[in-house]
Amino acid sequence: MGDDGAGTYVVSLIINENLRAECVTLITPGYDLITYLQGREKAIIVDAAQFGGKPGEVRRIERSEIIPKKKSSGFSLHDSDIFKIIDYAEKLKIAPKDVSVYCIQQLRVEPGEELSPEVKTGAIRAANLITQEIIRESIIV
Amino acid sequence: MSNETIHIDVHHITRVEGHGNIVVDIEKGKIEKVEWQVPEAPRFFEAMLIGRHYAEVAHITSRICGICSIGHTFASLKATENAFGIDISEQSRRLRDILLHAETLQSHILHVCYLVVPDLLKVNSVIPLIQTHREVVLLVTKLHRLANETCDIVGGRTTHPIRACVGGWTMIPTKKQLEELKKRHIEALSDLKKLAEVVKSLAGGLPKFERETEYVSLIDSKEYAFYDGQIKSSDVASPLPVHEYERVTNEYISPQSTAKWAKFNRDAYFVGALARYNNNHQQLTELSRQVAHSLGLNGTSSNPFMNSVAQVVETVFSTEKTIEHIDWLLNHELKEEKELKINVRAGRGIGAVEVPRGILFHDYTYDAKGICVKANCIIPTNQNLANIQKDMEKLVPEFKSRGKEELQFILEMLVRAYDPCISCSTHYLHVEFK
Repeated sequence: MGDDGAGTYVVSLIINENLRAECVTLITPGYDLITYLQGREKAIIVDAAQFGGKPGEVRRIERSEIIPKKKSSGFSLHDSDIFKIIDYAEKLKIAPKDVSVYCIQQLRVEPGEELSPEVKTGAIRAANLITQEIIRESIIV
Repeated sequence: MSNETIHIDVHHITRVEGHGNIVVDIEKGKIEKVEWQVPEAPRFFEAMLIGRHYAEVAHITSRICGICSIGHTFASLKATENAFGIDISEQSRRLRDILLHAETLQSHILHVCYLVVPDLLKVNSVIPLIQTHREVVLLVTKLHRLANETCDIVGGRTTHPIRACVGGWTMIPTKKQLEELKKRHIEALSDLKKLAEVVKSLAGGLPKFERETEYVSLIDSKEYAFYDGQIKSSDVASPLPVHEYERVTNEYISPQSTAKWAKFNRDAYFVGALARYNNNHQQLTELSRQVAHSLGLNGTSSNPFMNSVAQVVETVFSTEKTIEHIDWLLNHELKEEKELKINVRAGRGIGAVEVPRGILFHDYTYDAKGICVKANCIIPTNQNLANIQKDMEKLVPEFKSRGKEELQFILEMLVRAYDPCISCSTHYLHVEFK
């Protein structure tokens, strides 16, 4: 779905860098996310987002800054809010000590395989930033 | 109570996948309306397959569902292999079965523990259980992780497996990986027995409700059927071959649903764990049979709420079968199967597997170049929709005296008992404009 694939593209760039980190593409993991978070020291999540920035703009966001606006009809195994899942993992005392989130401002989310040029540039920038962060520690991305 | 007026209008019932509405109108004790409505939009997967090469088809259809992606992949591959006259090796068959059982384990424990148990404990979701039942939640997370990692190791990915291909397997797991998986599955049997005890302690809270209906599933002379078999109806002595599935499903459009309904010998039938159990319980493995008895399943059941209990039994069965398959693989030389010669030909093929929610059919027609020209997918949940309606029609008169709040709660529990995958059920509608 166009720029919705920005996170996947970032992971594809990082996964070939032979870093000390497990890189996984989860798409819409729903509740499965919890099994990837469990037992980790640190996790980085990267995804396309709508935060009112310029297309392709990259922001590293602390969780405390996020006000999720996603509406759902309740707890769904298919499609849960990732921040609720992280909260859930924390309540279970199995969450990583540190979870950071990289957001890439999307331009177009519509059927198609290509990222818009601005978002692709932003994704490359995000990959570089995340790579630097990974080099310091062993994490999942 | 007999003259009570009750209006129930639940939009977007919680703790089910997808959107469904429950509407009940009772005017001064007289039941005016009972409807199970599905408002989800069709997803047009069958239309997407038209014009696609056979090698792409399973990858596309695995996206129908994030929980049953493995089942869709295998129903799809079986349909294509059936069309081209391809048999797979015993090795591939057992690898596919391992993945199907991993999917069943994952889906069932999450459904029972996160979607059904909250009802029995009178809480809105699993979140409060973190405080009150933390050890149980951690056990579920552990089993969930095992199922996911089995899919990663054997199928190449947790969701949308990539290693199964038409006729073979692109990358075989190593013996070391299989030995580790076997060890973890043996440990999982103890964990599942603990979970079964928890469910047993709560199962008394399931409503006492019975409705005779028809149960449809795969049946196989060799084992409790998941991957292979013929179509068995509890109303018919002899099973039907899979290629005659349309005689069973008889899909039709209901005005209250964007998903089609199905019927066979009655006006509705039931698919899923309870159907499989009712048709095949004599073929359960040793431990799963013991768990069934301990949970009150002794012979057949016509209480739809027992579907969740049958799911618990199947988690044990799936784990035992996985250990059996791994043992076979460890005792045989594993062979690469990626260099396969596929003789493409024009023709039609049908594949059926049991996924967590019931029997799934994929039906494709290919041209001489292996391009899909026609497709039909019959999803378990859409086969169940008519049966949910009929259950509601019987349940409402029996439970209306309990008042609106409790009646609504029981109706929602009923829908959850089916473990519906509602958005997967709305497949392509053929529309004619006159």
